[in-house]
Amino acid sequence: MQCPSCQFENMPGLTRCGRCGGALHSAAVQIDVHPPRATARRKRLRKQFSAVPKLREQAETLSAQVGKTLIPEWVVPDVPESSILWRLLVPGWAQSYLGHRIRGRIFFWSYLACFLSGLLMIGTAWGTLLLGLAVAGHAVSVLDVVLLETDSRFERLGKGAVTIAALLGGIYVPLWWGSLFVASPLVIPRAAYPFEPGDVLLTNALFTPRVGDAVVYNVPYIRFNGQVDGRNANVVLEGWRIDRILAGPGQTLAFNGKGFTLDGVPAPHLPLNAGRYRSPFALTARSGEWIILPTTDQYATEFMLPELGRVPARNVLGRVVFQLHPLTQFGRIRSLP
Amino acid sequence: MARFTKLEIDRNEEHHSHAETIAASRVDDTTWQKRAEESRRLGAYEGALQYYSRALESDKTQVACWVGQVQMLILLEEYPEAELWSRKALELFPAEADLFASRAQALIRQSKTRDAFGAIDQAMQQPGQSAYRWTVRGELLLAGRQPTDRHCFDKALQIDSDWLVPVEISLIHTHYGQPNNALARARLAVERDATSPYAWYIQAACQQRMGMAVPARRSAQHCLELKQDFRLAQDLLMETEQGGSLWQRLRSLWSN
Repeated sequence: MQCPSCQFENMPGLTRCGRCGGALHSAAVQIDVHPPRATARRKRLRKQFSAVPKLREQAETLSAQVGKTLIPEWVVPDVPESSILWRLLVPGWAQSYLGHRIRGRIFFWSYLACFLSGLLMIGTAWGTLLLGLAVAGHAVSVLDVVLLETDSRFERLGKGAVTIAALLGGIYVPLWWGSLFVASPLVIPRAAYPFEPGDVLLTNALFTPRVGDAVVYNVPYIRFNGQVDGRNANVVLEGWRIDRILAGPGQTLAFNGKGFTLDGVPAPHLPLNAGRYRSPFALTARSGEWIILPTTDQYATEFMLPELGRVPARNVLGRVVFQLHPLTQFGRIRSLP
Repeated sequence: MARFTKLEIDRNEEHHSHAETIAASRVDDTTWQKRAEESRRLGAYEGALQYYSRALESDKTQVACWVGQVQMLILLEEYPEAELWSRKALELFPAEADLFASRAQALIRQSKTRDAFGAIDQAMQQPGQSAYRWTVRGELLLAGRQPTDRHCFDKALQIDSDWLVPVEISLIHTHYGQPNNALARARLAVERDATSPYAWYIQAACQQRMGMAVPARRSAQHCLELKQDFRLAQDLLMETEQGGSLWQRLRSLWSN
């Protein structure tokens, strides 16, 4: 090996040059000998928040103790330390923390792609598949950290079961349950113009609907005997419908054959299928009722309106916020002329 | 011809001048290390850090310089950087006790107690003895408020009779808010070497923190007698002459 100082050729295996005594192996390797430095601003910030590391350590100790208490020893004998445990909430984060950056990025980005795509296609078969893939990917990223090479088959099974249970019970089921109130998907099962079977809408049950909101509402069992398209008919209507609230309690909605009026002035909002009815009518909402015309129901005719058009507020299930699917109709719900 | 360029015969003159150059470069890293130690003993940590780096540029196998770098980073309160650097040094020298100890010290300063104890245990398992590992062990026990820290510090003082050891222990006590213990160690440093201006300065700083304005002034003046341009002592003297902060003045009223 050649000495970098005096270029003397030394026997292999020597650590010092035989002529000048200089170090051999370390000199051959490029090593940076200048340590990283903190800027003055960073040091000031560290001093200001000097209590944070201590609090973080106390929190980590506490969470490690809680983790060991909640998870029985025989199920998961090797609970990772708390700094890794809470990072398992985000796929790929624990891997990055442990130094496997590429693997961490692969887990994270593939999870994000599946999850976001699944959310966009929620209510469809592809959406279900992609969301399932996302959850599975998350489980795999957790097991990648938790499983050890020395684990027996039983231990692997136990860890896998605990991981799935923890992810579903701790993250995804609560997320799903919470989403039911905020943005629940609704799949249209049959043709209800302007919607087609398979269309996916997002509904929200948290906020009180107002006049002008498109809503999902429930129609209780109602039987009609009358004329439908010039023929005698015995019609049973039941189930949920979608349409726009046109008038509130105490307001009168009228149709004069040409246009809608609300309390004598042109109505600011139209039902979703505004060209559905031809014959004039007028409806007044009582206290605790909304006027919602069933224009998307192909079997509802004008003679049913006094029964169907006044909807008790308790029958309104939620606001229809958005149309997700098909993507060509992606956006807010619009009325058709 | 190229293949004869490495032969030593007929190249005596070139060989001697080359050997002189090599000798000069070999002295350099020792000189840098010496300068680093001098700076450290005057409390100039930044300068000491740079000198340690210069020494390592010449010879990367000087473990003491790697340890010195980490220690200076700790004294400059750059704890995450010190921990990172100690880890890097441990990759090069995986069995060096003082590097483990320096890593433990950097970790405990970041309140990572469990990792710090792991590192200091590894340091204690290495063969040999050094005052530094006992000093750091004492610091860990001090941080955990365990009473046995004193034993570790005394052990460190026993192993190494250098005056710098009680100074560094005094700085540890100061960091953990124990000015009375810090003053005791600073006094020991002055007893060990009364000609060291830095030891006198540390004593003056501890006395000032305790509210003992007059003794602090005397210690600072003594430091300046030993080294006139000792800036830290000059600043401290000015502060004591002005009476210090309001809290220090109240404390001095109470203690005097």
